[in-house]
Amino acid sequence: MNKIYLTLGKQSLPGEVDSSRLIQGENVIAKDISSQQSLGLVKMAAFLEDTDLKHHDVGRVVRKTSERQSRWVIDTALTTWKKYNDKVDISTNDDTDTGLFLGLGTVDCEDDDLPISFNGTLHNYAQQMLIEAKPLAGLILLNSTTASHIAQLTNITGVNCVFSPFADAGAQAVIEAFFNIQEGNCKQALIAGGSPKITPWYFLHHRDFFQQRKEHSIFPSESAVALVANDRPQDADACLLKVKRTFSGLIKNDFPMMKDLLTELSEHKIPAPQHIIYTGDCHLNNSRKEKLAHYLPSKKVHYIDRLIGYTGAAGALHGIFFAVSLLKNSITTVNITSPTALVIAEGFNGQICYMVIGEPNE
Amino acid sequence: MNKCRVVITGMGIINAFDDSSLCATKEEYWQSISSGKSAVRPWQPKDTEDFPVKYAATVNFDLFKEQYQASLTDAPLLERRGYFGLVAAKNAFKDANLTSSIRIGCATCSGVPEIHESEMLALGSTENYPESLKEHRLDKPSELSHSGLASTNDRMVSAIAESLSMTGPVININGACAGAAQAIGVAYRAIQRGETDAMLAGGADSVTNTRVMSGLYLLGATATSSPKKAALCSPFDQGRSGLVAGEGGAFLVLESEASAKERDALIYGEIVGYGSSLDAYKVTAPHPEGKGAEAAIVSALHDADLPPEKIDYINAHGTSTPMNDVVETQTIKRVFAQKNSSVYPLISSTKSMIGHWISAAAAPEAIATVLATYHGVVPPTINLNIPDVNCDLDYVPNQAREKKIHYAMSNSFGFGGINASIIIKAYNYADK
Repeated sequence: MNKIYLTLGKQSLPGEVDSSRLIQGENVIAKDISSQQSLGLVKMAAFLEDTDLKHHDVGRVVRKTSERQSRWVIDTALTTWKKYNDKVDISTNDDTDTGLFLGLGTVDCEDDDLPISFNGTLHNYAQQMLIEAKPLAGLILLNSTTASHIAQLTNITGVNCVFSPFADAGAQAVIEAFFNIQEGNCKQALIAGGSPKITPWYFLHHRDFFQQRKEHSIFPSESAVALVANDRPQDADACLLKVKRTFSGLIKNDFPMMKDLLTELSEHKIPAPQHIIYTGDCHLNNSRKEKLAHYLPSKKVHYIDRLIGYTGAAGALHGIFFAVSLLKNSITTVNITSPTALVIAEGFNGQICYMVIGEPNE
Repeated sequence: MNKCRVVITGMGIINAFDDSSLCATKEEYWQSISSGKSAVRPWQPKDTEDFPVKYAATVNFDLFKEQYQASLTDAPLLERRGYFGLVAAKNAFKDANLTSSIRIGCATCSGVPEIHESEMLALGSTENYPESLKEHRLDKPSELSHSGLASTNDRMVSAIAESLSMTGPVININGACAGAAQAIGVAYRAIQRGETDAMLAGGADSVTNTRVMSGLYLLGATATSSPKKAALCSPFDQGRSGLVAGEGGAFLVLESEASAKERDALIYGEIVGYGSSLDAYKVTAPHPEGKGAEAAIVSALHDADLPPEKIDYINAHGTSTPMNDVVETQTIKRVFAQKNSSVYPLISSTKSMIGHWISAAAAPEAIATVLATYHGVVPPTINLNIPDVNCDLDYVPNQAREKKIHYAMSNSFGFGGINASIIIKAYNYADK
C-alpha cells in the first residue's frame, strides 16, 4: 500500500488552543454572541483574531483582495510552508512538483459587508456598487483568490484544487493530495483548511445546520489550519494510510463504504483504527451509533466539534492534528504496535470522507 | 497502477440563443454553435438604468421554469444557476441512459454566491442589515428565507447527487473560470483510479445580477459598449474589449470504458489527459508569458502521453479580453512550435457565441470539444473580422470547418492564475 506522509503545520484556533492541549482535556472557549448577529441560532461563538499579514511581508494587493477567512488561511499556509522549507530541502524540486489543495467555507461578503447591503432602491444599489465598492471586490468573493495568493507567495505552481464549503471540503483537499502524490502528479502538497468568518450571512448559510443541532449546544468557531503531505517518511509526524469518500444523502448510510475500508485495511494487515474522530457532526443517532459499534466495537469516538466548535472545512485537518496527538502520546485503548486513527469528515448534505492516520514509521 | 480508460457517454446542457426558446439538448447546442449563432443580446439589471454592462448571453428564466416545472418540483431551493445545473445534469444522465445500479458521483464548481436584486431589496439598508436579515429571512419564512442556504457552495452538487441517488464522490470545486475544467479533471481521475464507475462532471453559473456584474465591470473585464457599437464577444479580434457574460448549465457523463461497454452505451469520446497549474504571479492578471497556462497544457499532454503535434484542435479559453487572447496565442505557439513552426492546431473560442459562463465556462466548452471530435467539425470563432496583430493563428473565423479530429484540447485559464487543460480523443470502437 502506498502511504503518504504528513508534516503538521500551523493550527490557528481561538485562544491559541491546539491539539496537544485538546488531548489534555482543554477545549476552545466560546463567547456570548448577540441574537441579532446569530439570527437567534446559537448563543455562543468562538472568534479568531484577524491578521493583517504584515509579518509575512505580503503586498498591498493581497491584503486588499482578501477577507478574514482568506487572511487566516494565507497566514497558516505561509507559516506552515516556511516551517516545512526550514526542515526539508526542496530546492532541487521543480515548482510544478508541489501541489496546493484547500478546503474553504463559502465567502459571502467582504469585511465591511459590501457588496451585500445598500440603501434605497435597486438603482441606488447599482450606483453604490459601482462607486463605493472596491475595484477588486469581485476577487475577494472568489475562494480561488486565496489559492492564487498562496501560490504567488510560495511559488507553488503545480496541480491544485479548492473545495468548499462544509467539513468534507477539507478532507477532499487531503484526499486529492493523497491521490495526486500517489499517482505522481506532484511530489508534495501544501494543504490548508479555513472556516468562514462568523457574520449574519454565515448563519443564513448554516441555518439548518445549527437548527438541527440546537439541543447539542454546538457553537461555530473560526479557525485555519495547514499541513504538508509528501512521499518521504523523514521528518513526518504521521502517515496517511488509506482514504475513501462517498455520498450517502440525507439518510447518511455510509456503512457499506466503511465496511469496504475496514476490509481493505485488514487485507493489508493494518489493525482497525483504535480512535474514531468525527467532524462535521457532533452527534450520531442511535441507528448510526449501533452500526458504528458493529463495525468498530469498543473504539473510542471523539466528536472534535464539541471541543473546538464547528469549524467547517477546517474540521478535517483539525481532526488529523488531533489524531496525530493521540497517536504520538500513545493514547490507545488496547496495546498494539501500530495504532491507527480514523478521521471521518461529514459534509452537511451527505458527503462523507474517511482518512486513516498512522504513525510515520508504521 | 492500472488506469481505467475514461469515456464520455452522455451530455446535457441548458442555455439560450434567443429570448423565446431554450437550448436544451446537445443536438440543438451543436446545431447553434456549428452554425455560428450568437447567444449574446441586450441586457440590463432589473429596475436599473444606465448600468455600464449592456450585453449578456442570458436564459429566459420564466420560460425555463415553465418548461422544467415538473422536473424541479421536488428540488430544494437553489440559486438560478443551481436550477440550470440540476436540469443539465439530469439531461446528461438521461442522455447516457444511466441507472443508479453503478457507482456514480458528481464533481462540479461554484463561483461567487448569487444574490439577486429582489433579495437585495429585501435585505434593506446597510445600517440595520443584520436585523433586516432576521426579519426578512427567518421571522417571516418565504422564498427569501432560504436564499442563504441556496447560495452555499455545495448546494447544487448536493441536489444533483440526492436527486440521482449517487453513492460515489460528490465534490464542489472553486476554481474561478477554470472551475468546471478542474471538476472534469478530478472526475476523470477518480474513475481512472477506480474510485467510482461514473461521474457527472461540469457546472452551471449565472452572473446576470448586479452584484457580480458590477464586480466584473470594476475589474475591467467586461466588454464595453457605445451607442454606435454593441459589446460583442470577439476573441482574437483587434476590436475586442472584454468578456461578455453568459449563463447556463452543462454536464458530461464520464464513465469507465468497461462500464460503458458492459451497458452497451454510445461513446462520444474519451478523456485522455488532464493538467492543472497555478501562475503564482498576480491575482489581477495572467502571467505575461503564459507560464501557468503553458504548465497546464504541457501537464495535460504529459498525462495523455502525447506529443504536441498530435493535437488537431484547441477549444481556447478565448475570453475576448485584450490580455488573455494574446497570452493564450503566444503560449500555444510556444508549446506547439516544437517540430514544425508553420503547422498549428486549429483554434476556436466557443465563448464568442455563448459568452463567458465564468466558473462553469469549461463545461459547455468541453461539450463543444467532444462534439467537434465526434462530428469532425471545428466550430467557429464568431465576430472575428480583423485579427489582432499578435493573434496570428487560425482561429476558424466566423464559419465552421470540417476536419478529422483525433485529439482535441480544451483550455481554461481562470482569474488569479488557476489553469486547467483537458485532452479529448475521438473514440475508436476498434481501438484496444
